[in-house]
Amino acid sequence: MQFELWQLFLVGVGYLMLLFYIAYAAEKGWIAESIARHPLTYVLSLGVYATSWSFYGSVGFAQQQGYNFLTIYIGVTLAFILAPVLLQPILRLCREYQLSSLADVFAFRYQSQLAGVLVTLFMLTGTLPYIALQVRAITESLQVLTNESTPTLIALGYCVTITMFAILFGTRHISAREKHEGLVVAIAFESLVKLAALLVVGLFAIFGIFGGFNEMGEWLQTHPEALESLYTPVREGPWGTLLLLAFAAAFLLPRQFHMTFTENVDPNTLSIASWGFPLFLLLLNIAIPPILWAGTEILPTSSADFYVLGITLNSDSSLLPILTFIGGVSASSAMIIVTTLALAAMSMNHLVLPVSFRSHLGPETNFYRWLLWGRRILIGIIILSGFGFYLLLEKNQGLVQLGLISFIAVAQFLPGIVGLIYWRRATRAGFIAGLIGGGTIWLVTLLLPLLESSGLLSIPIDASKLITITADDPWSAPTLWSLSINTLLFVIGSLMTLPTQAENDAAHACCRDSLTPPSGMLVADSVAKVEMQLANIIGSKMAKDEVDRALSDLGLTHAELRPSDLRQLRERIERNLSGLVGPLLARMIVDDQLQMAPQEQTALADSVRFIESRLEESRTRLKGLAAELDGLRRFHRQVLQDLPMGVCSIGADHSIINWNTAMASISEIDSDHAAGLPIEVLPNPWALLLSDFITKGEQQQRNITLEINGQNRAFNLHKAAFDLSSDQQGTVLLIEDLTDLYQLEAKLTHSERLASIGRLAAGVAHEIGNPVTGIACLAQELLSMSEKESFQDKGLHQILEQTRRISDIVQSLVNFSHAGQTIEQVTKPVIIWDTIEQAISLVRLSHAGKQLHFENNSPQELLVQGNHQRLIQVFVNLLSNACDASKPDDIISVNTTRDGQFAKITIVDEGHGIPESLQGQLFEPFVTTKQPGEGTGLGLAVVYSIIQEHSGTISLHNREIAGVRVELLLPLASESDSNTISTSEAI
Amino acid sequence: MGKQTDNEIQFDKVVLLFLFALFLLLSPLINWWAADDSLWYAPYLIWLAIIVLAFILQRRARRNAI
Repeated sequence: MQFELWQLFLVGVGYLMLLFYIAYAAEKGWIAESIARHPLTYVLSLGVYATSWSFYGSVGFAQQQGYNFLTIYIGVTLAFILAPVLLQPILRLCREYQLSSLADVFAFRYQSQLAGVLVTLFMLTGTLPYIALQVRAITESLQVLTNESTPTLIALGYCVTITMFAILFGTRHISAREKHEGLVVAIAFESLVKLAALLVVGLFAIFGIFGGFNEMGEWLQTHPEALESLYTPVREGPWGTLLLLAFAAAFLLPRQFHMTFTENVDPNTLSIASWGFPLFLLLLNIAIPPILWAGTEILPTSSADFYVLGITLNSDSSLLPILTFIGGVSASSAMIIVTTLALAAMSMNHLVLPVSFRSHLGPETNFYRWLLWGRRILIGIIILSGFGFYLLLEKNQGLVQLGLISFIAVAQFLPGIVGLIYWRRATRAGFIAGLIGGGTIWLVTLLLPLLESSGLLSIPIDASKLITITADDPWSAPTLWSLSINTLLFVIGSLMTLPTQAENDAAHACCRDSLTPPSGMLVADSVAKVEMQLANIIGSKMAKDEVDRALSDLGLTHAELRPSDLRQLRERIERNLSGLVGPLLARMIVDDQLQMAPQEQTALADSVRFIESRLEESRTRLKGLAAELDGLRRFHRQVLQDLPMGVCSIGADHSIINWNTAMASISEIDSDHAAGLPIEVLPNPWALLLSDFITKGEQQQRNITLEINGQNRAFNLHKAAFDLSSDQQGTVLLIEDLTDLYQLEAKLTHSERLASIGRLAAGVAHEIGNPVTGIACLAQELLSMSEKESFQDKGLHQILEQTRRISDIVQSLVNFSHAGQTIEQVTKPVIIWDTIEQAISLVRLSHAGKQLHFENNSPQELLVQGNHQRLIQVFVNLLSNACDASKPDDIISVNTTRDGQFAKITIVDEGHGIPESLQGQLFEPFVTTKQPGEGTGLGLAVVYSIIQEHSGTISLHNREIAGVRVELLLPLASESDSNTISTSEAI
Repeated sequence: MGKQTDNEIQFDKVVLLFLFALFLLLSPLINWWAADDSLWYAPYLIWLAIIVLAFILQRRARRNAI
C-alpha cells in the first residue's frame, strides 16, 4: 500500500485544524470545565513527554538496546512516585512565586541573572536538536508512506502551522498565572490519539501479523533470540544510567516542566498524576515488543525506527497507516508546541528582557503588548531554528541518539534542584560552576561529535579518547563524567563561597522551613501611592492593573491601610510581575519603586501570625525538645482560644496580636480579620471602648453597657501590661460578658420578688381589710346619720383617706412585682432614708400581726450611688428575714452613718440569730434557716449579688445578746451627681 | 517525640516505595526478572506493581486528607 504525498498532507493539515478547533472550543468554554479541568486531562497532557522518539523511535531503541528502552518511562515513574517529596515543592514554589520556567526557578533560587541566562542557553542548545528530531520524524514517516523523499517545503509548512498554533493558543495570556486551557486540552487530546494509535498498531501486530497471542508465543519459542536480545542489554547495558536520565527528564525537560508546573491548575492533580501518568506510559509502551517482532518478521531490512508505520502498510485497510501517521504527527507537534512555549518564555525573561528592559520602560509604554509580541516572535524564531537544525543535521543520527543528548543536557540541572529543595547552603557560584563544568563535558562529548558527524564542523578533539565511549553505550560515560564534574564543582563552589542575603532569603523561601518573619515597612503609605510609584516604571495602565490584581489576589480593597497589608501588596505585585518578566526583573522593579523603610519594625502581630502559620504548615517534623515545646505552644494557644472570656492582646503600636474565639463571638469580628489591625480602626463601639480603656490608667472597668445590634449588653473589662522588649510594652485585655449572667440574675431576682409577694399577701389582705372595714362602718354611719351634714363631710374624707391607703398598698405591691427585669443597671444618687422607709412599709404589711417596731435612724440627707428599685429589694429581703426571726413586740432598727466614701447601714434585730453551721454559706442560693415552704433560700443570694453590683459589701453576725447584726457598705454619691436624685417615683 | 502528621507518614511511605522500586530495578534482583527465559511481559508486570502501589498510597493519602 502506498499513499500520495498530497493525501497525507491533507490528512496532516486536517488533523492540525481539528487540534485548532479543540483548543479553541476549550478556550471558549464549549468543552465543559469538568472535562477541561479534569485530572485525567492534566495526566494526559503530561503525555507530551512521549514524542516521535517514543512513537516511532522506541521500536528502534528496543531493537538496539532491548528492554533498556523502558528505562525512559520507568525513570519517569520513579520521579512521579516521589511527587509529594520532589514535585510538589517545585509546584508550590512555581505557584507561590509565579515562576514559569526552570530558568525562572534557578534565577530565583540563586538570585542570579547569569544563572537564568546559562540555564536558558543550555536548554536552547540541548533542545534544538530535539525539535529537529520531531520534524525529521514527520518527513521520514511521509517518506515511508509515500516511498518518495519529502520536499523541504512540506517540512517548512508543518513548522509554520505549528508556530501558528503555539502563538494562537500558547500566548493567549501573557502571565504565567493564567493557564492556557485550550493548549492543555489539545495536548491531552494528542496524547489520547498517540496512545490509541500505538495500541491499535500493537493489536494489529499481534492479530494481523502473527494471528493471535498464542501464535506470537509460538513465534517467540521458535525465535528465542528475540527475547534474549531484549533481556541481555538490561543485564549488561546502561540500564541504571538511562533510568537516571529519564528520572531527571521527567520534570526538567522544558516541555515537562511547562505542563507539570506552569499549566497546572489544581495542585491535587499532581498526586493523581503520580500513578496516572506512569500508567499512561505503560500502556503506551506495552505494544512496542509485539510491533518489534512483527517488524522483524515482515520487514527485516527496514529501519526499526519506522516499524510502527511500516507494518501497518501490510494491513488491508488504509485507515490504519493514516491513524498511525496522525499518531506520529500528534507526538511530534505536541512536543514542538510545548517545548517552544517554554523556551520562548525562558528566552524572553532571561535573554531578551535583561538587555532591552530598561530601554522599553516608561510611563507611556504598553508593556503587556511588548511582552506578548516579544514572546510570539521568539516562538517563531525557535521553531525556525529547529527547522534549520533539521536541514543541517545528517540523517544518519538515530532518533534515540538525538533525544538522549537532550536528556543528558537537562540532567545537568539535578544538582541545582537538590540545592533548590534541600540544600540551603548552595550558592550561585557553585551552581554556575557546576553547570559550566557539566555543560562543557556534555558539549565536548556529545553535541560537538553530533555536529561533526553531520559534517557541520570539524573539531580537533576526539571525545572517545578523553573518556571511554563505546558504540553500544555512548551515554553512560558522558553522563557519569558530566554529572560528577557538575556535582563536584557545585559542592566545592558552594562551600567555598558564602551566600548573599538575597540568596539566603530565596533559599529559605524554597525550603519553606524558615521562621524568620518578613521585616520592614513600605515607604508608601497608601495604595494610591503604590500605584503612582509603579506607574513611573511600567506605565499607569499596567500599574493600575497590577495593583488591582494583587489586591484581588489578597482579598483586600483600596481602603485597607494596614502597613502589613501594604507590605503584602508589594510582595504580591513582585510575584505577579515575576510571572510576566521573571523573578529578577520583578524584584528590580519593586526594589526600585516600592522602597522599604528597613528601620521600621515589623508589627508584632504580623510576626506572630507569620510564625504561627509557618509552624502550622511546617513540613519539617520537629523533633525532641522542639516538638515538645511546639506541643506546649499549641496547648497554650488552644487554651487561650477556647477561654470562655474574651482575650485580646495588643502590641505597643496598638495593633491586635491575638483575638480569641470568645472575643470574636462577643464582638462579631472575625479573628483573622482583627489580627494585625490597629485597635482604632475596629468597628465601633469596640474601637472607642478598647482604645479608651488601654489609654486610661485604671486596670478594670465594671458594668460597661454597650448597645450591640439593638440589644444592651454588659461587660467587665480588665487589662494587664506585658513586656514586648526592653522598651516596649503590650497590653492584654480580658473582656467578660455579663449579659447572660445579668439576665439570669434578673430572672432570679424576679422569682424572689414574686415569692416575697406571696409572703406579703396575707399582710396585704389584713391591711386592706382594715380600711375596708372602716369604709363599711363609715358608710353605715352616713346612712343612719344622713341629716348631719358635718358628719357626712367628715365621713367622706375618712372614706377617701381609707381608699388612698388601699390604693397605696396595692400600688406598692404592683411596683415591687414589676420592677427591674432588665439588665440595664442605671445608678443614680438615692436618698437612703427614703429607700429604707419604703422597704419598711412593705415589710410591715406582711408582718403586721407581730406588732414589730421599726426604727429608721438614717439621716435624711445621706445619698448613696445606686439603683433605687434594687436597693429596695435588698432592704425588703433583709428586713423580712429580721421580721421572720423576731418575736412579737421586738424592735428592728436601721442605722445609717457615713464611713469615709461609703454609707454604713446597720440592721439590727432581736431574733434567734443564725445557726453556726450556716454562717459560712449564707449567701449561697437555696440556703435558709426557715422551714420548707416558708422561704426560697434565694433572698440573701440576691442581696449579695445586688450589693456586689453596687460595689458594696455585706456582712452578717450574730449579736452577743440576741439577734443578728447586718452591716452594709454602699458607696456614697459624688457631689456632682447629687442633682439627679432618684426617689420614690416608682412607689 | 512528637507524633507524625499524616503528611509526614505519607512522605515516609512514598520514600519507602521509591526505595523498594529501586531495589526491584537496580539490585541484583534484575538478573532474576531479566533472565533470558523470563516472560516477555515480566518488566511490565514489575512496572505495573509499582504503579499499583503508588495508586494505593495516593488513595490512602487522599482519604486521610478528607
